[in-house]
Amino acid sequence: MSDELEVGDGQGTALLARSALTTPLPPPDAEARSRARVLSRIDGGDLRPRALRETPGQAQWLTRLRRALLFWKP
Amino acid sequence: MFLGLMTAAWPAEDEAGSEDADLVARAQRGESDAFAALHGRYYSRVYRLAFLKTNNASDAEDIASETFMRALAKLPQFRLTPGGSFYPWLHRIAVNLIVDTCRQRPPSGIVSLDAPLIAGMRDLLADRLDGGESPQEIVERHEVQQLVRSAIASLPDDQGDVLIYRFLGELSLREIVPLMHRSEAAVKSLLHRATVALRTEIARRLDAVERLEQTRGAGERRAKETQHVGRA
Repeated sequence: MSDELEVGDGQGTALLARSALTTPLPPPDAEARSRARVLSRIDGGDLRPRALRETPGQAQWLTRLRRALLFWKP
Repeated sequence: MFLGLMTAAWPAEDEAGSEDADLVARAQRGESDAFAALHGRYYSRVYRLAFLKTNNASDAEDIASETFMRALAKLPQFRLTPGGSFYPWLHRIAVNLIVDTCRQRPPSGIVSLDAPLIAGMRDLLADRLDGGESPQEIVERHEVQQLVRSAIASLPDDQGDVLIYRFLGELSLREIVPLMHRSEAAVKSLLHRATVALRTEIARRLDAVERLEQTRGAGERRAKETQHVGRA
């Protein structure tokens, strides 16, 4: 990693910097929590597979259906 | 139903062979496993960056998580530099979050080091890598890492950034060039200056710790002498 540094030109400092910057490891469950949060957003967001997204035509149709259900009285 | 579908598509481990460009393109096409792979690949680096700046594990976790949420939201507009890494974009998002949330909280740099550890660090700073204690044992000590992190945080922004890009982001000089808007030679020179500045700053902090330890030692000796005189 210190390939840009000449010998005797800060290798020990680079070693200290690399070690300080690559620790600590995140807590084991922190990454899983973050991933679950992202997963949850993907579930309801724009990253859904194209096949499962509503087309503009479907969206209009669903809007009309929702409005109709809103005012529907049995 | 959809949640089950997505969970099934979630990869068991990072797609190590895939390039960032491929993963980004696939994520932008709506493939959740590609974004998951990017998350798995870069989460630790973003967490460490946040930890470096905040010195707080809870803040680091919140910032790392929010970084990926913002990246996900802005992913359709993101354009990756050809051959580039996804990390610099995450880095910029994380830095904005860090500035927003932790502006008033300077990282703590007060540590206590014993004499052999100070001597070992001085050997490392002088590039005497074959000193008494193993360099690996020295750099892995928690208090050493805390002192070095606070020294990095106190450097001028461009010097701190180049060290973070190089050693935390694991970016090559060529990858750092567009991020810092400098030539490759200028980045190399900046990295050199940052290393020298870091060495000077660590040495300055070691001097301060040593003086503090000496003062503390002298104080304890005086207290013992006073006790002794009192008893006599």
